Amino acid sequence: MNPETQPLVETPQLSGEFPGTVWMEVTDRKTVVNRYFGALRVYLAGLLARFPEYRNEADDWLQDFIKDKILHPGWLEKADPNKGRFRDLLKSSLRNFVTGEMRKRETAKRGGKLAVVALDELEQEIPGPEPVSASFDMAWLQMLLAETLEKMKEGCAASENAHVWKIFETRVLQPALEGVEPPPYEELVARFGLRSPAQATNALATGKRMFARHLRAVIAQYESGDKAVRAEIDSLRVFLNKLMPEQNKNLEEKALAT
Amino acid sequence: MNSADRDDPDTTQTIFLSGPKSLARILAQDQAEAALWEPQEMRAVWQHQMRAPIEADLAPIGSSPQEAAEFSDKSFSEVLHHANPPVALLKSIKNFAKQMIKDAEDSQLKEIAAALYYTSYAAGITRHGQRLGGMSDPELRGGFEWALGRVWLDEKTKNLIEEAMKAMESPGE
Repeated sequence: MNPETQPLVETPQLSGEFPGTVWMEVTDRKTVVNRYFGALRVYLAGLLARFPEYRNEADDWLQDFIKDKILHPGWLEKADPNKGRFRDLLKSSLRNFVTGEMRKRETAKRGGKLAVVALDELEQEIPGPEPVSASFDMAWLQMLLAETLEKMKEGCAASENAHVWKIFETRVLQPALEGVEPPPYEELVARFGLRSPAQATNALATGKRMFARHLRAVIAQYESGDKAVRAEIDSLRVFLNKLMPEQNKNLEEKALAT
Repeated sequence: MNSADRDDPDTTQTIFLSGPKSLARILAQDQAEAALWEPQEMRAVWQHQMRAPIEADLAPIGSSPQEAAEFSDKSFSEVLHHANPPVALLKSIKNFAKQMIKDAEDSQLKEIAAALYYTSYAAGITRHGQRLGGMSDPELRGGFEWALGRVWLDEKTKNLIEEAMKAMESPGE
């Protein structure tokens, strides 16, 4: 990495503010950089995985991409929600940027002459959308869920519903994250002193509703409208399903059996 | 100390170490139609309802009859299986259950409420020879049969309902 290159951004703070609610929010350049830096870095590492000679350039190229594209006045404003998802725009732009940089280096190596490696050939060398894109989308989804849960936790604390967060965390989050069975109903009731099924059900149902509401609010910061938000959630679900072929196979077998 | 009691500010940060299966389980919480409890947990939910103190459910809706004051610290099970429960209290339980069927958004809670509703009717018929409301014979019989079909309903309650069905068949006895 060039020692003169000062980092333009710091690693994003995941508990950061989410001030806006609509697509226009993405035109706030610094917010975009802070929020998506992690996912972009993961994606770039994937892009360069097959080019060991360029791996050391990753940090510089990411900084340059942020400076020349994201922070450049007018670039984000061109983003059109009608032309596709925002995260796809970031991915394709970074990919094109890296292709351009690699092309420049190849040309420079040959004293300014045209690169021996033809442009389309070079572009083909960059791996396709999978699995490089998967690493980006995983990082994106992790960031999305972390933000959602952080907001939910804050919301529960602010509305004096800390028990809702705790119950959701105990019954849903910890089992999902630790890969264990959720604590059974009796245990949950005893642990939280829930006096009736109505109380237990309402607490868990409230937690689920809050999760869904915050998830939509976080997505609404880069996708506009209910339809687009719904489509984003569906696409993330499809993406996860593709990463779990075994589970899908089991589901298909179950569906065929019924 | 169990994991729920720990003040663990990093729970959400664990997301960044999680794979697709974990993320899918969390993302699935967005689907409103997913059941809250596992089918095998319905027995525990019903048992919880039966051992819950009646005032926990009836007091918030202002449905604790004064003539049943001595029962205020009893559980649903103690009232419904009592040899001589106050009719007013049985009616309060029935009304509470009816309200829960109407208001609950969760289908599993509605099922629990429906079972409670028919059980209160059964207690009224067996202990006092009285109908707690205006349900017709076919409606009541259908409801009792539905309740008897719930695998999670306890034997004692099933016996109470069967007794009520017999009483309906031979009202003169």
